[in-house]
Amino acid sequence: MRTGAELDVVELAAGIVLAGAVLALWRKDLRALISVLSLQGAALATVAAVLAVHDGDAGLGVVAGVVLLAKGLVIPGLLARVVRADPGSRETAPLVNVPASLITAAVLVVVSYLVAGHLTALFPGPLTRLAPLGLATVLVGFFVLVTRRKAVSQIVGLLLVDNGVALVAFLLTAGVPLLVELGASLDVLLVVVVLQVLATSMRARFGHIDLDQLRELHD
Amino acid sequence: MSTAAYLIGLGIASAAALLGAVLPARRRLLGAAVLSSAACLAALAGAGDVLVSGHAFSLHTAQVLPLTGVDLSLDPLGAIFVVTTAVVGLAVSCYSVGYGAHQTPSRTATAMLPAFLTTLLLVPAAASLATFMVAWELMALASLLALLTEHRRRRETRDAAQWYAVMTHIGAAAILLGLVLLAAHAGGQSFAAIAAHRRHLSVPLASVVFLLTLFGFASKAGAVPLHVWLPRAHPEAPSPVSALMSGAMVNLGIYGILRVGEDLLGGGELWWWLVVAALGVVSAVFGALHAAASTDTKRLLAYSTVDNIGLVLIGVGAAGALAAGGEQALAGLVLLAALFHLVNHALFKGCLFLGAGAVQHAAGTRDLDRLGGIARKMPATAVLFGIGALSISALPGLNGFASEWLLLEGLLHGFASHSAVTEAALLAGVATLAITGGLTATAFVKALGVGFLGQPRSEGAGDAREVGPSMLAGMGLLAGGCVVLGVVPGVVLPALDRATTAGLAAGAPRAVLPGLGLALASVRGAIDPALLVGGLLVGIVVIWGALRLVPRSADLRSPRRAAAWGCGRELQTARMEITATSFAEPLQRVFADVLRPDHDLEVTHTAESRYFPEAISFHQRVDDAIERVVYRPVMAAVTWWGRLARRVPNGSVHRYLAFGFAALVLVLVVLA
Amino acid sequence: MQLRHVDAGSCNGCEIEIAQAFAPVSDAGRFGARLVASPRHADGLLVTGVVTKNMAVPLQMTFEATPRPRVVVACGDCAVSGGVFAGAYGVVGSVRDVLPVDVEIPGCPPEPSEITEALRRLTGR
Ligand code: SF4
Repeated sequence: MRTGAELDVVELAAGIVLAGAVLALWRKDLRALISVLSLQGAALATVAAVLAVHDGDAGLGVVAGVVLLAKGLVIPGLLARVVRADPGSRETAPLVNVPASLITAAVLVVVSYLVAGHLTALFPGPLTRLAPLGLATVLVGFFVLVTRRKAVSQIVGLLLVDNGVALVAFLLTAGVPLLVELGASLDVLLVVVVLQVLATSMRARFGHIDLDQLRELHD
Repeated sequence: MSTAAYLIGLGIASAAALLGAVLPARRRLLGAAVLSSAACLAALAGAGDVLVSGHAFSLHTAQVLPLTGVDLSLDPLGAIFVVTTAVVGLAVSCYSVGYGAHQTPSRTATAMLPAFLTTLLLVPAAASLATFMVAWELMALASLLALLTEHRRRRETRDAAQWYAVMTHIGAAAILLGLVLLAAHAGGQSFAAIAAHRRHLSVPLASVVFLLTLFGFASKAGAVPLHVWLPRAHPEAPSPVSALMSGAMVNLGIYGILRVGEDLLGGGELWWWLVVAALGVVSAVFGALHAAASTDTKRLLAYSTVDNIGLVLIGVGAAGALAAGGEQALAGLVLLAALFHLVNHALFKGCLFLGAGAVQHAAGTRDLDRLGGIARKMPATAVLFGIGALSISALPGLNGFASEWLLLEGLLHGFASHSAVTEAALLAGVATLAITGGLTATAFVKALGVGFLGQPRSEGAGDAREVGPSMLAGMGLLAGGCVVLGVVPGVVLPALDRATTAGLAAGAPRAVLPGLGLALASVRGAIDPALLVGGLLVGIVVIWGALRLVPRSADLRSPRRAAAWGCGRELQTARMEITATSFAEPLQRVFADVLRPDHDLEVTHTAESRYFPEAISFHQRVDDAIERVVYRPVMAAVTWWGRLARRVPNGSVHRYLAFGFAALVLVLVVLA
Repeated sequence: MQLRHVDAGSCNGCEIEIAQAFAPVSDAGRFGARLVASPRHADGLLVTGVVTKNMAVPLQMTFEATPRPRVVVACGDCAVSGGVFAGAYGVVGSVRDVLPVDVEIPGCPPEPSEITEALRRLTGR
């Protein structure tokens, strides 16, 4: 059985993942968002590492390293470069304002606890108790996608969803297969790179990177 | 033997479709026509054998369709439809050689005709749900493509194709739904399994299945109010295709009703068949009225198809009702008459459509108001079209008379049944037969009189030339069939008798006595058209001879020739002749409530006084009232709904994401 | 005796009198005379009015269309001799100039009794 200390660490890290998602809703400064993201990546890597140590699973250890590298360092770094190219950019006018967003996040957390009841019933155990945190992260990330206008905020939302999925996977099955996790991380990396290119050219064309303005391309 | 012949027929027909698509331009017309004629002959042999021997064949192969395999089985009921299709198909194949000769048809055109024919031959033999639906859908597709092969760029043609596609697919969906429902509760998808299980079905379920399939089959048969595609599709399709559609495809709607209602569901409730008969009454009257009012030859023929299918539906409905009341003998008689009329309709309507196509081919128009004088330019076509027109008007000595006489006899004898409702339905049927008889005669007096007699009303009609021998042969085959079945109907009655027995769930005793004429077995009643025609011929010869022999006065010996009396006018132009529109005008006035003609009268006065008109222009259109009242509002509602829905996606990424998000949360909440 | 009436160019005075001849007072019908709708049904023509240019050919055609044996009755001065219109423009002549006339009824217009009398001579009753 897991020791209490290990469980505590995992619980803390999972809590940080969700807290990061909520923070992402709260802060408007894009740079703050990126630091939140890198914190989340680190927490996720911690979860993986603790599980790896406990199970003595080398593969999981590699995954932890990859997660730390990709989600904790490389992706936030790339995003930071996008933001640096457009200094002073803030999520000025989200479609849903911050207080309303936070209330919605609270509702989403409740919903995910309700829903996850079925999931946890499948694998009862101390870790699966934490699965609702991952699910809530997914929902909040999706909510960020829906309500934030800047392209960088959107990618942050996407990454939140991804992190949430990864967390759920770690908690429920003690690790996604190495290959899958690698693939997913690479995918996200690719998205970020594409975004960087797109954002650069969008700024060159329209002078801003506000996705909502893309509506003009319709019809 | 019959299995092999039938399968060979199907094979050759598909080969014809293939050849029509791949052969070089010069050969493909002839190649496809020869092969499809051969296919028709083979299928005729196979199905004919089933009819003569009375033994059904069936086979199953696991290969062609994945999961279910293909089940084919041809019983006498299906065989009657295969035979009819094969005869019309033979004539059409022959005709298509001449029809396509002066302008080489496209690959699609030469390929689609045999393909359509193949599916038509296939449907009556399908013996499982999967096979049936595949064949049915293939038929719908092939006919749609065949319809589009000529003038596909014209707006009317595209319109017609759209109407047809929508109607036929709604129908197919209803059939599929009904049959799947049936199969799910009958424990099997082969027809034999369903039929074996029919006693265990609950009545409400069976009724739902019947109504669903009736909807689908009635839309294929062109019963009012599902007929709207007919008057659009038939005029716009190439004539061989309209002949096949009207002569063979609509029949399969009747086949479906019989197959599901009697065979699979075992006859069912009385009210089912009263619904069928009611559909028939409405279709017959509505179709006949519109046929009498139409001025476009092929539109007239299309409406007349609605009329005749209505008569068949009356027969089928009455037979079902009588059978549900336990009157097997009478039910057999009425169903026999209905099937006989169906066969006859295929013959004369095929002939008429081919004739109309020949006229359109030669004169460049099918508008009766622009035709005229065709009889002098195209005497052979005129005679063949005339035979078709007289047959459909049910003149004695031709096949229309034979089947309508039988139907009338059956309906009248049915009054002996013990159900008051059935009697009322039969009475309605008799009245319908009477009124449509008159209206049909009007319609075809118009078609013949205005279209073929008098002076040409347009340059095209004036320059018309007789069509080639292959087209005449195609029409002649069907017209010959009309005459043969009219004079000696007895030759096909035994076969029809077998089909009738197979068509009724509880079977039926023999309805007619063997012989060349029509003699009823179960009730009193007989007529021998051969005697009638023979007597007429003898009478004519006797009178003619007597006139030659009797001494005559000087005046009679040297008769004076004078011009026809035209009220003393010195000038006779085509514009002074009666037109199809004016011929139909009185009827249109009488039935204005049903036909709802649209008038458009514009009078320009001279500048000096309003009492002196300078020019008067008058336009009149007779649209389908059902289309206006039933279909237009539905279409308007759908369009409105579509407009509304278009506002939802406005191009905002966030809105699309929000939809996804909302859906996700909703699903989660519902799950939780 | 069935007669087809042809108005070859009359002033319609004669027509009124013909109508009176067949009306209840004179009732030419009881002597076997009838007016019919088509020359094909007729034994002869009852022509009124001077023969105008436009009606000359139709009159001849009507005569042609009448089965033999046939009679031609010229009713009124115009038909008999041209009457007041003799020599006018647009006029061909009297009926006799166009067709063989069998019976002439003078008068402008002739009275119903005179018409009836002439018809009785034809029917023989
Ligand atoms: S005769 Fe006299 S009444 Fe008769 S048409 Fe001539 S003018 Fe008229």
